[in-house]
Formats: sequence, structure tokens, C-alpha cells
Amino acid sequence: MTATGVVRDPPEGTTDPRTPADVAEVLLGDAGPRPWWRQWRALRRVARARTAVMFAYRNTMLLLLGVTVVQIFVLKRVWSALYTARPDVLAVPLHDLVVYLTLANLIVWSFPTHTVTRHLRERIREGSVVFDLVRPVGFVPQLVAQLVGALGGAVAIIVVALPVVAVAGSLAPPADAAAGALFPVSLLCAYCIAGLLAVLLGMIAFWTLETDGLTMLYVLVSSFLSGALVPVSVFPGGLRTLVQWLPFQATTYVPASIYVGGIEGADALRAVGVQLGWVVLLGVGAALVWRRAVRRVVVQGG
Amino acid sequence: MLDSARVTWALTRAAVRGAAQYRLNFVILALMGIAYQGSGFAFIAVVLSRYPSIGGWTFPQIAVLYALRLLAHAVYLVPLYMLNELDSLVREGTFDRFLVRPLNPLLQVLTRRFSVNSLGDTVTAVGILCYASSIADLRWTPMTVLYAAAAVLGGALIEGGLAIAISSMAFRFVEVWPARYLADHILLNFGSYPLSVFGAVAQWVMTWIVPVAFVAWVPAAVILDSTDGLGVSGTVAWLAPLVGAIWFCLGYQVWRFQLRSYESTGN
Repeated sequence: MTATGVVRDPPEGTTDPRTPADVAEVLLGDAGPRPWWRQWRALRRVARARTAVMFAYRNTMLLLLGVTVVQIFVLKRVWSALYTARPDVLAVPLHDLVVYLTLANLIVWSFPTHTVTRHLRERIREGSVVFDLVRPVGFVPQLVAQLVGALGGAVAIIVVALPVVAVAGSLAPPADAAAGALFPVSLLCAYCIAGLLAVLLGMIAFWTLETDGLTMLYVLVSSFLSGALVPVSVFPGGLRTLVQWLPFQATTYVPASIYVGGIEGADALRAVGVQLGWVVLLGVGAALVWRRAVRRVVVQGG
Repeated sequence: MLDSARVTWALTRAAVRGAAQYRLNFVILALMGIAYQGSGFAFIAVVLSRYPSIGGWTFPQIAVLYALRLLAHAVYLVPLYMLNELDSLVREGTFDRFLVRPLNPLLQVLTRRFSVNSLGDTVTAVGILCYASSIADLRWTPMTVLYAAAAVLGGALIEGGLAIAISSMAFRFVEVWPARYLADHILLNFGSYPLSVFGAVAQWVMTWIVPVAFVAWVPAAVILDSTDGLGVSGTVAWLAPLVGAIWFCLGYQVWRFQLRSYESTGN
């Protein structure tokens, strides 16, 4: 085993004594000389590179933000029309609902996990993922750094676009001090859950080599079930129960509802508790899937 | 002209045969189309299970509107889906080949492959239309059937004209798919509701600048016989299909103009 944790070709004429398990151990990243928390400088570069990619495609990002702005505007007008037809269906006042929808859509847009999923799919399909695997920095920490970089780039663009968003939808300060304090915690959990789901989705490519269709389906299903179009509390009975048992609502509905005061007090704490539960559950799940995935690496064409 | 039609038809058949080779992918992509368009309708169904109407339109009426819009979308998408790939055809230099072959380059782009997602859209559209006409207060007469068919074709031409015009920007700029995506999204979002919901300014823009109103809202109002508040007169409403023809011609002129400034990326 080399000290740097890099898998090298065996010298000519010798047989490689390493078993696949040995190689896998190296690839898992924990056989390297440094644990991941001491590699933060390298990881920061990975994150920064991803942010730079986002800015290189800033026109694309702005047009896609335009899609979100259109969506927010349409939702605002449609819900206003619905409230005009019958104002007392929901307990939430219209203004709070519009703030909720604006925020929920911004949360979805601010974390473009699909850019990382697509990147991973392409690396796996082309076989260039092998370069990521042999780097002295663990593969999973690299993925996390990529996700952080994508988040950072998107948030920077959002800050610039906020005035437009405020006109298309509606923005307001948090409902009260407690909501203001709990919102960042809930949002952080939401980003963790969304990130873990993206990692899980991306790793499917180790088996299928193709995740385009799945990614598209995921974006659709998650945007509907996360409550970015309709607050989860409006869903009819059966669908609401189903949604409450899925992780998607914890990525959007929970933080946005806490912000506008739709979920408050003990309920808010319980909702954040559920979010933490999802973080742990999906984290363990991702670790297990990763341990199997790394043994499945197929490098096409060598 | 006749030769072009014959070659186009042969290429289309080859493309469909090609797509059908990957059977599982064929099914998955078709299902994806259904899921994509179905989710938009699910939103309206969920919301209108609790509310009586949107902008004075009840659920059955909105269902008719949604079905017409989706059908127009499907009629546009089946032949024109390959425009989505124009970005990469230009970037990779593949488009060069189309210029030296004796068939209109646009037809060569369109017949390159057959998109299966668009079949899913078609299935969903027909399904929702059947459902909508069973619950809505509709009396199909030969006249309304004819009008509906023409309106669907007109709506498809409006979407197609817009798509061709925006796609042709790929001859000048590197990446135009986000612009396509935004335009699709605007048509899908604004086109699925009575436009009066969005306020007078937006309604005017969506009628006279970008004719979103004529894709489905105006035709749906004619078929449902409730043309009040459309912002256009009854006569104009009956002429809605013509708007598509004009708009498509404009889109194609933009394409021809942009094509002149095509510079190969080399290889």
C-alpha cells in the first residue's frame, strides 16, 4: 500500500498482490494520510472550482432564475385569484402564503444539486471518475465540496436578483424572533437533506451509467412533493400523509413554513427534529450505498 | 418540393425505427412525458378540489383549457423536438454536414432522431381532453370540432414559431437551451390559466406581443361559449388559428436570417 493512498499500477512483470477489497479500502479515502477534516484547503478549492463553473455559465443561471421568477409570479397571481374566489379555505393570510411560495421557490433554486448529479453522471459514464477516485482527497468529501460550491454560486446570484424576486412575488422579515432564530437551523438541515438525496441519486449511475431520466423525474416529483407549488397543508388527506413520510417536504416546506410562522412553537422544534432524523438516516444510507458503489466502478475504455 | 417531402418521410420513419430499438428507454421516456405534464395538471386538480374557481373559470373549464394547451404543445413537440439538440449540433460542427446535403437544413435537424417524450405528452393531452369533455358543459358540433382542430394546429404553430426563432440564436451564441426552457416555461405557466388572472398589463402583453392567449385560452373560451373578458372580440377569437400561421412564418424568417450568420466551429 502506498503511503499517499494513490493506487499505482504494479511494476512490469509482477502480479498485483492487492485484492479488490484492498483497492476499495484506498478508494474509500480513509486510508490516506490525512482525515478529511484536515484536507479542507483542497476541498475548498474543489468548491471554488464549482462556483467558478456556475459563474462561467452565469447567463444560463440567470435565465434559469428567470424560470423561477416566472413561477413565483404565476403562483402569486393564481393564489390571489383563488383567495378572491373564496378567502377562508386556508388559515394562512394571502400575503403570508405568497411570502411562503416566494421563499420556497428560492430555496429550491438556491441549491442546484442537479448540476452536481449531472457532473457525476458524466464522470462515471466517461470513466474519468477514476481520477476523482485516486485523488488523495476522499471522493465523498469531494462531492460535498462540489455541492457547497454550487450552493455558494447560486446564493450569490440570488442576492443580486432579490429586487426582481421581491416584485414578482413578495418578501418579508421572519414572522417573529423565534422563527428568525430557528429558520437558519432548519434551512441548513434542508440543504443537508437535499444534498444527500442528490448524492444518492448520483451514485445510481455507478450501476446504471445513466441517470438523466431519473434526474428529470426527481426534479419534477420533488418540486411538487416538497411544497414549492402548494403548501403541504393544502394537500388532500391521503396525499398529505404520504408526503409527510417522504423527505422532500423537509427540504422546502419545513424551513419556509417556519420562516412565515406557519409552523411555530413545539411543532417547529418537532419539525426540525424530523429533519435531523432525515439527515442521519440519509447520511447512513448514503454511506452504505457508497461502500457498495465503489466496488462497482466500471472504467469504460480504460 | 415533392422530393423533399419524400426524403423527410423516409428519414422520419428511420428515426422512429431507431428510437424503438431501445424498448425500455422508449417506455421510460414516454412515461416521463406523462409524469411531466401530468404533474402540472395535478397541481390544478389539487388546488381546485378546495376552491370553486380561478378567475371565474371552474375546474371542468380549466381542464378544457389545459387539454387544448397540452394538445397544441404535443402537436408542436412531436415534429420539432429535435430543435433542442441544435445547440450541440452547432457546437460539435455536425451542422456543417446539413448545409451540403440537398435537403432544407431545418428538416435535417428535425428528422435526426425521434423523441419519445413527446409521445407521453400526446397521450396525456388526449387523456385530459377526454376527461375534460366528459365533465365540462360541452356540446361538440361539427363546427366546434373543426375549430378546435384548427386552434390546436394554430397553437402548435405559435409554439413552433417561437421555438424556431429562439433556437436559431444558436448560430450566434453558444448556449440557447436555457432561453428555450424559459420560453417553454412561460407558455406552460401562463397558458394553463385564464390570462385575466395575471392582471391587465400581463394579459395585454400575452395577447398582442407574445400571442400566448391564442394558444389555448381564446380557443377554449370560444368552445366553452364564454368569450367575455377575453380582451379580443368574438370575430378575432374565431380567427385565432390564423395567428399561429402568421407567427410561424415570422419564426421561420428569423431562422433564415440567423442561418446566414452561421460560422462553423470547425473540427
